[in-house]
Amino acid sequence: MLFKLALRNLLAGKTRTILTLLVFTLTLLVTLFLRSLYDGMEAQMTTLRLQEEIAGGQYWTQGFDPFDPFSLEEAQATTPAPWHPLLQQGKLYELLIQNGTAYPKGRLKNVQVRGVNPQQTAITLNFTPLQAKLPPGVTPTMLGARAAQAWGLKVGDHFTLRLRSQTGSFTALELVLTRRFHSSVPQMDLNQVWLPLKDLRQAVGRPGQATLLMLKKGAVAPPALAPWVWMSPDQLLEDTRQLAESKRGGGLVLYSLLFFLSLLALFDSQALAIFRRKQEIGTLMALGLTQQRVTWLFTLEGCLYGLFACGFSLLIGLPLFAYVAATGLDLGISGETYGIPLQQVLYPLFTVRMVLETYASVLPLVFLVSYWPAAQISRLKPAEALREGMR
Amino acid sequence: MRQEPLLQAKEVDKIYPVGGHDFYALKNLSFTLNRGEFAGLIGPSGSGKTTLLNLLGALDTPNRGTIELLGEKLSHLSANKQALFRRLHISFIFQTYNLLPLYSVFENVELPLILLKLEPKERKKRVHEALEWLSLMDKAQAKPSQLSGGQAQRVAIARAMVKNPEIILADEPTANLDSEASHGILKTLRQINEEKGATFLFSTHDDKVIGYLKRKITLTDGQIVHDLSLPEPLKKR
Repeated sequence: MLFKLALRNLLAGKTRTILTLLVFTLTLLVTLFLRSLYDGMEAQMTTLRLQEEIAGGQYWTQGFDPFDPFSLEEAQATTPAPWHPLLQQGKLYELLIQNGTAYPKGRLKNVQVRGVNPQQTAITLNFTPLQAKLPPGVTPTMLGARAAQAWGLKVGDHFTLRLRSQTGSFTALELVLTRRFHSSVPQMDLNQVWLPLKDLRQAVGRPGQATLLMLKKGAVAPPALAPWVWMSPDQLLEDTRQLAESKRGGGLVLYSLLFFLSLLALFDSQALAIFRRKQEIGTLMALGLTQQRVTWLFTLEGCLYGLFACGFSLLIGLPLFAYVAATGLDLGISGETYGIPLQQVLYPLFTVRMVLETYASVLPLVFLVSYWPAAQISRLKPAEALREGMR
Repeated sequence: MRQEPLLQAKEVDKIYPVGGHDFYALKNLSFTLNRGEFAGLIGPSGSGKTTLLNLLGALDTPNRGTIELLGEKLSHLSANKQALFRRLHISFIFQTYNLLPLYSVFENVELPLILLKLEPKERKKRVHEALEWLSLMDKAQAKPSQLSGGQAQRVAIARAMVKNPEIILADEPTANLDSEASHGILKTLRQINEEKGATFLFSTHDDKVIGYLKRKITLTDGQIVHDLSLPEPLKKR
């Protein structure tokens, strides 16, 4: 009976009901959309980093800190003998990282020099152009498109690289740019000079040494052997997760505000309806409805707003979001420009869990906002409700 | 005829705080209503008629004194138990009909039976009986907004009688009706009293209603000043 009455009251509200539902549905749609953007952003950043940077996890030499160039002085080690079969099977790839200075077009650039096996398949970047046959004394190199652009270099251009060897003496290499590659992960591009691993090892006098080892995705990670430390994809993605969380924080403020306004609209609507219907409340009490059931009646009415808004947002949202998720959103500019591994087209990510979480976080609030005015009014004695309802 | 007390009010006070001091709406009021009576509380506005009716119907509680219905002290019951007591034993007829606007006539009359958790079949039977009794069958699916004042009040009467309550409390039931509709309603109520044995207590200052009463309890300033039961032959009109 209460449900039927609540539903009828809701439908009888006409304009008031439509407006309240509209505000609520829009808020839910905006919230779902924003959350899907942030989830899509994190998913894209994670995927890109895994594909182009992290692979299936990495082993770092003890003391290696990617944010501290000085750590590169010591953070080198040879690959343990038990892992050599993995190197041969193409499940593990060595990467040697050194500090260096590049002189493109007469300018001076402090760079990180990365020696990589040109045939590596751990990450999706193609380093085979590092195998280019060049005249003696010239070493092939690859640069990210943004670095090459900033330095004014095109394929075939030469520049000098100065390195410091293990013994502390300086050495220099004549490099020729064999490929400008595109990476959506700025860390792989910005001030990074990519060389064949053997050439870099030879130049700095570190035969057999590497700074980190990349495990191919799907390969089983062997137990870490000193001085190598296992860094799982989860650990390596921690900063990406934190970045996404900070972005979500901003979004949370926005949709919290929207929800606050929607809940305020619902509260107003409920409070007005309740005070306008005091006579009805008094009549129901006179007929024998208990205070609790009067409270539930009006709470149910408010909750129906929430449930209907969830239903409408699904009805409108499903086709709309399915379309956006398939076509993606052109942001006009890629996140790489801001140092974020994001492409120009962002694909919002809609999951059942995210939708259910959104609804689950809203409905208790709707319940509270509906319950409060109803609980206040049901405290009236039936005679008071009838008397005030006649005024 | 044996007089069986149904309702008793003993030394009842009802006080409202007005402008910083206490206003006695009812003062040390006592009276008894017997089963099957067709009585009325009469008096001018502000004499305490509606206040007393509300107390007797467990819609409000007195500040002092007791009200007993069927041997149960209403003023000692919790709000929930009072609601349950009203649901089972008391019906109301209001001056403004108080029908639920979104429900049809049938559903309005059915409501007390739903609260009593009767089976749908039994509810339908009883609602049809009540509507037929009040010649409202053709309006069963109408909404209250589609009814005249007299029809709406007849629906309210059907809603009041459908659960066969111990007592029906009617607050100014003809105040919003024209003369013809008022007489029609009052005749119906008298008929219910005489044929079904329902006990009625009115609150009124309408001469038309007063003319139909078998017992007239006059209130002035919250106190009973006259309590006049008509001799049996005069009670019939």
